This record gives sequence, C-alpha cells and structure tokens, in this order.
Amino acid sequence: MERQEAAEHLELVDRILEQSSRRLYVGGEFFVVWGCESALISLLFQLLSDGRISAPWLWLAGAGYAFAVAFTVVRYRQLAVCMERKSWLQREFLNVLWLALGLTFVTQIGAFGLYPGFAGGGLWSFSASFVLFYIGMHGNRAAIVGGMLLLVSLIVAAFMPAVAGYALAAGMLLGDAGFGVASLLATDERAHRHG
Amino acid sequence: MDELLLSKIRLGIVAALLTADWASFASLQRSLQTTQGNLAAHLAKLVEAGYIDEQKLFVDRRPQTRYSLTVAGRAAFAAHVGEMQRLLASGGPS
Repeated sequence: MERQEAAEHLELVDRILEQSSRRLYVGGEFFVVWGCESALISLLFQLLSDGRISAPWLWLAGAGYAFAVAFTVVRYRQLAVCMERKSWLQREFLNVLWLALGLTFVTQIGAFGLYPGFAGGGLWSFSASFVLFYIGMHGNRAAIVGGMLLLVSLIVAAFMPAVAGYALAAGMLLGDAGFGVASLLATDERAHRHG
Repeated sequence: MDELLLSKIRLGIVAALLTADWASFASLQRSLQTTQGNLAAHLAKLVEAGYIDEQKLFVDRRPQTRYSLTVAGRAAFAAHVGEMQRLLASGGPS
C-alpha cells in the first residue's frame, strides 16, 4: 500500500466515524408530550392555589399522565421498528432519557407527599434540564438553550412563589416542548434535504 | 496490513459498525453509497472471516439483515489502522 492510498483510507474512516457520531435521534415528540404534561400540572396547581379552579380539575393532570405514558410506549415501539442502526451514542441517550423520565415519574407519583404541587413541577424541570444538557454536550445548541430556560424558570419560581406555577409551566413549554418542536422541525428539514 | 481490510468498501463497513450495536444492510448501503450486489459480496467476505456477525430477522413482518462487529473484527481494524498510520508517519510504502 502506498502512502497516498493509506491517507485516502484513513480519510474515509474519519468521514464515516464523523457521520456516525452525528446521527443522534433525540425524539422531539417525547419532549413535546412530556413538556406539555408537566406544564399542565404546574398550571393546574397554580390555578388551584389562585382559587380559579377546584380540586377535581387535578384529574386532568392524571389524564395527561396516562396519555403521555401511552404515547411514549406506542411511539417508542414504532421507532424501534423503523430503526436501521443502533449506535452506542443512541443507546446511551435512550438510557438517559428513560431513566430521567421513569425516575421522575415514579418519584412524583410515589413520593407525592414529599413533592406536592409546585415541587413536582420543579422535579420535572430539573430532570428535563438534565436530559437537555446531556444532549447539549453532544453538540446540540438548541438543547443547551432549552436547559438554560428550564433553569431560569426554576430560579424565577423559587424567588417569586406567587407565580411559581406559571414560571415552571413557561419553562417546560419553552425549554422542553420548545426543544422538541425545534428538533422535530430540524429532522423534517434534514429528511427533505436528503430526499 | 490486513489483506481483507485493504478494500475501501470492507474498511468502510467495519468503520461504520465500529460505534454501533448493529446496522442494517440498508443503513450500510446508505453510508457507503455502493450497489446492493457489491455490498453483499464484501459483507459475505467479512462474515466468512469472522470480522462481523450477520443476523436475519423479521421487523414488522419485513425481513431485515443486521450486522455487528466481532471482537476479532475490532482487533483487526485497530491493527490495520495502526499500520496505516505508521506507514504515513514513516514516509515509505509497506
């Protein structure tokens, strides 16, 4: 083998490895659904504490949870079917996503005495920002912006308790669901570009 | 140098599988931009050498062939790339 040929082969390897590491599917739809669900919970607790709605309205949060869980299971099964390659990065990302979603869900439902009302919303903002910063570490700027928005909403909620629910809901809608919409649009644009 | 990995397509296949649990035939074809027949022939050689594993299954009632890198394939790739890097550094043909 000549030097020129070796250089070409190494270039090919670099190009393929770079392409492989860029193909992370973050599942924007999960962020939209769980972001909206968490925002709904914070909003309902805020409206309840403002006296604008009565306690039975909280069942809406339960219905939202049921929808989010059902959507997550069905959509993940669809994605698993059409997946053509499972990279280590994709596997690790999905592990982080399911761990964050699952642990927060179980903690909020199972330890509702510890995390009632806005504390539950805060828990969702924390875990969502954790996942977004993890995605951001792999070069996704939109995820970093989303994570920052969630942290800001947490701090605003802590210092302005009168509007804590609104702040947390806005953080989840803009940071989490907003990131989901942005990544779905980006996926769509990439699909159009590559035919 | 590893004779089997002197082919650009076979080297590309191993590189594409390096950071993945598995990849389908279609995904490899898209990565390497080659014809089905050519890719199938190169994949068969790598399977025969024990560098990659082949798994045939049905996904959503459609057949799918998945490939994954073996320990032997990973070791061969590392040694081959190391040789090429040494060749470039030394300044002469092997």
